Amino acid sequence: MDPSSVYIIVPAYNESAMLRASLSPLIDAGYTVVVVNDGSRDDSRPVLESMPVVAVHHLINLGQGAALQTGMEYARRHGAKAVIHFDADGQHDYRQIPVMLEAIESGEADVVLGSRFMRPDDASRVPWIKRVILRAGIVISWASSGVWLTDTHNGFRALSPKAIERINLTQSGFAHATEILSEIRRNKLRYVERPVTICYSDYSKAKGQSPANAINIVIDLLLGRIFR
Amino acid sequence: MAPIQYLLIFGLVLFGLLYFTRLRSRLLDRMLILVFVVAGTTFVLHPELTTDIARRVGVGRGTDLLYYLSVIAFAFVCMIMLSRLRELRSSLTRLTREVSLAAAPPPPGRIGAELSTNRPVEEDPGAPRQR
Repeated sequence: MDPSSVYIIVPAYNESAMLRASLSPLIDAGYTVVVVNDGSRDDSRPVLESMPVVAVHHLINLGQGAALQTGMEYARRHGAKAVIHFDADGQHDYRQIPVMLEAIESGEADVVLGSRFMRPDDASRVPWIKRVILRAGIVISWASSGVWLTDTHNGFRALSPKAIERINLTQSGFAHATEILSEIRRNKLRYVERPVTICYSDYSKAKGQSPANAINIVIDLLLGRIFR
Repeated sequence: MAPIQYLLIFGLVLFGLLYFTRLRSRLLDRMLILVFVVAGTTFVLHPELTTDIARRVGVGRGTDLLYYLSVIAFAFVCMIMLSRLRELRSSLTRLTREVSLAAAPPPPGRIGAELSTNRPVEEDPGAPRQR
């Protein structure tokens, strides 16, 4: 697959410190990098405009789910052959993108989901409190979407054009991870999991989700059900 | 009449007037507001009526009946507001998305080859970006 037809969607909210380091290897690999600047209040905008990436600026902060949906919409309108969801904070390894793309290219799956729990090495890198919460997330996601995975809240994903066409995320916040699974099921998309290594740097730990936020995610999911 | 009755009736009438002059809404809403103002005024003028009704449904005092009903009404209003708020946020999300995408540049490799898109407005990639 021509790398420029692979659109890497990177939602970014106040990540200017990490942007250059996270994006440079993606640009060098020839991918089309679409950064959705989700209303950042730091200097993300000038940093992005100095780089050869497509910067889509949300005028206000909408949340990661909404940013991903905007990126997918962009990719869809410009005829992307595949989409990768990639985090801006440097916790994903760009060298694993080809592995994620394999199942899309071969037509084996419409959605490829990264998992931290398929290889013991990757799992042992996850801080224990995160491990407990992620396990709970697996059960909640299964109850909410009917899809059982080994790791549900992993931001590293690959999607086929069919998946981008069908998936519509309405959960603006972090409940989108479970919503993607519901969308997979609703649209009868084929999915596979692939092992990925997540790098927990001090930066990503400080920037990432606090364990308490897990409760917010569950409430968002429930409200999404009630008011649908 | 006790001073509180004047106060309450004044409040009810003011509420009704404001509603009908400032907000336009569906017929059902208007009917409910009208019923609320008329019933409210009646109960303020004849407080013993609420106690009668309260007795009949097994509540001791009219005041308590009104209190219980207002708790339910409050919860109901909260639900409606929350649901409206979610609707609003969802349209705001779609609006922001469309604005952002309309202002986004084409993919780097494809400048000038933008015929396959269905974007309503084509933006000149060289135009200065507005903040």
